[in-house]
This record gives sequence, C-alpha cells and structure tokens, in this order.
Amino acid sequence: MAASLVRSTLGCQFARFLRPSLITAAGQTQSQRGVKRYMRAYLKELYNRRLRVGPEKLRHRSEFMNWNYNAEIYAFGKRLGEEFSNDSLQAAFTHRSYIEAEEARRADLGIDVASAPLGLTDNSELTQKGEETASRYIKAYLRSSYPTMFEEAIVAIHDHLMSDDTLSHIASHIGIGDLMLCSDFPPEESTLSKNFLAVVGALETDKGVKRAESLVRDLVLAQLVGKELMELWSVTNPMGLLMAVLDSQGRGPPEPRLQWQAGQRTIMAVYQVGIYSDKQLIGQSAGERVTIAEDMAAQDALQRMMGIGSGHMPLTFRTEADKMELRYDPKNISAEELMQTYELRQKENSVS
Amino acid sequence: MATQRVLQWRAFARTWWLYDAANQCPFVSAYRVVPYLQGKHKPIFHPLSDVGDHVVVINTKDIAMQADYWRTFTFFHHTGYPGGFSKASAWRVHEIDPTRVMQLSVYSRIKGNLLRKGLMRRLHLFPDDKIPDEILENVSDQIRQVQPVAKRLDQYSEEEVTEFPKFFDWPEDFVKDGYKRHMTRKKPKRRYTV
Repeated sequence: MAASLVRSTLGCQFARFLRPSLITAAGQTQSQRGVKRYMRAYLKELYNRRLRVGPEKLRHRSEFMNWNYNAEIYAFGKRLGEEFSNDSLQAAFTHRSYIEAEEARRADLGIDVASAPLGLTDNSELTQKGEETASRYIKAYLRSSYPTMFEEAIVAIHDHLMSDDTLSHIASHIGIGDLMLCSDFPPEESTLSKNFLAVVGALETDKGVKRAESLVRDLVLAQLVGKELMELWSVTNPMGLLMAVLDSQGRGPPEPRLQWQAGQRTIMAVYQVGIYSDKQLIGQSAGERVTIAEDMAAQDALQRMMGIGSGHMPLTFRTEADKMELRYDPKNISAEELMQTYELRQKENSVS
Repeated sequence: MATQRVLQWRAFARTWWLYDAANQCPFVSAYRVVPYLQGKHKPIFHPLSDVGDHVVVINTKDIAMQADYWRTFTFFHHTGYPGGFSKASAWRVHEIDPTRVMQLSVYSRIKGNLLRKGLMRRLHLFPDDKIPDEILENVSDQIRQVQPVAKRLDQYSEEEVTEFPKFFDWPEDFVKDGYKRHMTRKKPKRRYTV
C-alpha cells in the first residue's frame, strides 16, 4: 500500500510530498490532533527508497486487475461509433509476432501445436487491405479538395499522413496500444501504424469501403487541420516553378517588386516583396533579406494557386465530405512535367 | 515552419518613423510620438511586451512653444545630493541643447516604469535635418505633424507683400524691427545641468 502511495505522489514536489495530507477520499478535511512528526521521516525514507530503486517497470494494462479483453475490444468499436464483428476486430489486433511467440511458448510446454491449434489469424491481410483503401482515399480526397494542387504535393501530403509517425500517433490515441496482441512491449511505431490500418481493413470487411473511408477521413485526414501544407512539400526552386506555371497559363512572367522595408541598417531588417504578373499581385511575403523575401513570396504565390493560402476555405469533413465527388483516377497536374515543357519551350525560343 | 517564421519576423519588426518637429509644440508632439515608441499602434501591443518602434525627430531646434512658454515654462532638476537642485526656463534649456526640450517632454509623457529608459533609447533626436546615413536609411515612414506650419513673412515674395491690401503706411521714422531680448535676469544660482 505504501508503495502505491509513493508512486502516486512521485510527480509532486518534495516539500508538498512530505506534508501529510489531511484530505480524505470524500474531499473533506478531517481534524487531526497534533502533528505526527514521525510521518516526515517515514515518508522521506519511502521517497528515497523509490529514488534508489528507480521508476517502476512499464507494464501492459492486462497485467493489472479488471482486464477483460473481449469487453475492451467491444468497447473499442463502440468508442469509434462503428459496428465491427468480433472476429474481424480480434484478427485486426493480432500481430504475427504474437502468434509465433504463443506457439513457441506452447511448444516449450510440450503441447502439440498441430493437434491443438491456436485458432488465431494475424492481421497482415487486413493491414494490406486497409493500407490500399486508406492510401487510395487520401489521394482522391486531396485531389478533389485541391483540384489545382500539384501531384507531387499531393503525394508528399499522402506520404506524411501514411507515415508511421502519424499513424502510430493516431493509433496510440484511440487506445490501440493496449489492445494489440504483439510480442514487443512497449509497442513499436511501425506495429502501431500497421495495426491502425488493420482496423481500417476490418471495418471495410464488415461494413464496406464507404464506412472505412469515412474512418480514414475522420481520423487520418483530420490531422491536416492547422498544418502548414507547404511545409510537407518542399519546393527547391519556387520561382522557376512559378515561371513555368504562369507560362503554361499564358500569363505574363512573374515580376518581384519590393513593397516595403524597415531598418535596413539594423540586424532586425525586414523586407516585403510582392510578385506581380500582368500588373496583378499574385503573392507576397516578408523576409530577413530581399532574396529570402522573394523566395517566400514565390512560395506564397504557389500556395495561392494551389488553393492552400491563408485566405482559402478549410477542408471539408463530416456529412459535407460524404457529398464530395471523389476523383480516384485522373491525376493532378505535375510540377515536374510543367518544368520540363517550360524548359523545352525556352530552348525552342532561343533556337528560333 | 518557413512561412510562419517570416510572418513572425514581420510582426515583430521595428519600423523607423521620421517626425519633423519644425514649428511644432514639443508637448503636443510628445503625445503623438510616444504611442509609436510604445508600439500602441500595433495589434500585438501589450504593456509588458517590447514591441515599440524607433522614432527619428528632426529639426528640434525649430520647435515652437505656445504663448509665453519659452520664458515661463521651467524645467527642474535635482542631482539627489544636498543643494543639488537647479532649474532653468525653457529658452535657457533650449540654448544649452536644442534637442533637450523635446527629449524632456517625451520623457515626461511616458509612464515612469522600467520600460521608459528603453523606449527613450529608441528616440533619436537631431537639432536640424542633417541625419547620419545609417539612421536615415532605416526610416521607412513618417509621422504626421501635430499642427499646421504657417508661412513666415520672409517666405512670401516681395511682390506678394507689396500687393497685400493695407489700411495705412507706416511713418518713415517708425522702427519696425527693434525688438531685442532684455538680459536683465539674474545669473542662475547653479548652471542647469543635463
């Protein structure tokens, strides 16, 4: 009991920890006759012992009491507001490594695995299914949300969303970490992300593609809210790309102009550059130097063209997104192709 | 976050403002200049954050005082030591240092907290319009003057003056330009310092 007391107060400040608390469980203060001076030494000793022993070993939730795996799995589906079948959800949470470890354990105990099969299927199939669905839907959703966005940017955003980093973050926050059956503990990022995709695959098996896609939208695509999309896709030569884009649209070449500057002779100098095409402002940004400002202004112009500038509409979610017409197949315009055609045209012009 | 970085840089950039104090009341000018020093014209203003701008005040030797203030307005100073008190009228202070009246009026306009000294460091005062290049190059905008500047008689052409309708002519022996400052005052007890 004392150990649990120490564990619960480890995060507190030392001095506060040493002050015996008079607040009962009901939250009411209790009168106490005198100050028990032995308590200070006692609690101090407990504290020092805990410091000597070090932090407690991380344990899986199932090692503690009140753990009902079937109930937890059922609750998982209800938390997400989805109707899973018990079998598919169980399969989604079972990792290959768990089955292997379990078989090895049984073999050690002398149980014949062939005669008494485990009856578990691993989630590799569901993972693959979920990955295909999620990947296809993310690209389609982005293409229809941003019809003028370059394909490279869409792929970069898609890669960010489908990375282990993002998916494991989502998975650990919807409680997949505790439900997973795998041999590694604490679970690795790749295992967590695969398991999330397996859940998507399980939902697709049970309820169809539409339902799985809306799960991907609500959990994965919602990660884009408040993110700087231009940061996910780094353009090496924004001004060159801008020239190519304007050329392909039959507009005048970009013309950077210094709009405003302050404190040129100080270390806090700031310059604001605007980019104009046919005397129309198409992008503007500030910078520490004129070259930086020009670069950022070109990026701003590209952002505005792709519909991800600060003044553009946010992404659509919930029921509005169900009405969206998804573009699975035709890819968006590619930045690299645009650059190549532009260079070719430049060469032709210089020859003639 | 590259885009956000430059936005932040721009939001916290210090602008340099130019203020022409020629024929302007220093006390009213202080009301105009101080909000710029404090950064009160910015949406990000907060009394505890240091977001003020620089103000370059030129032509402080040509400031204008209302009524008889050059003679009657007195600046006081105390060194903190016994007998360290001294005072001087505005014209005397202006004679010692032509930027001093403007500086004192701005200083007394700012609340006496820890920020005051720092804000005053961003006030650059020049007696005339000769500013060093490293300061003038920083300037990107100017502050509107507080009062309209009237045209002086000597700035009108001879023709305009003669053609202006007159009620009468001065007699030939009338001395028009004979005013001189009377130096009958007592010598100050102590020289006004700083």
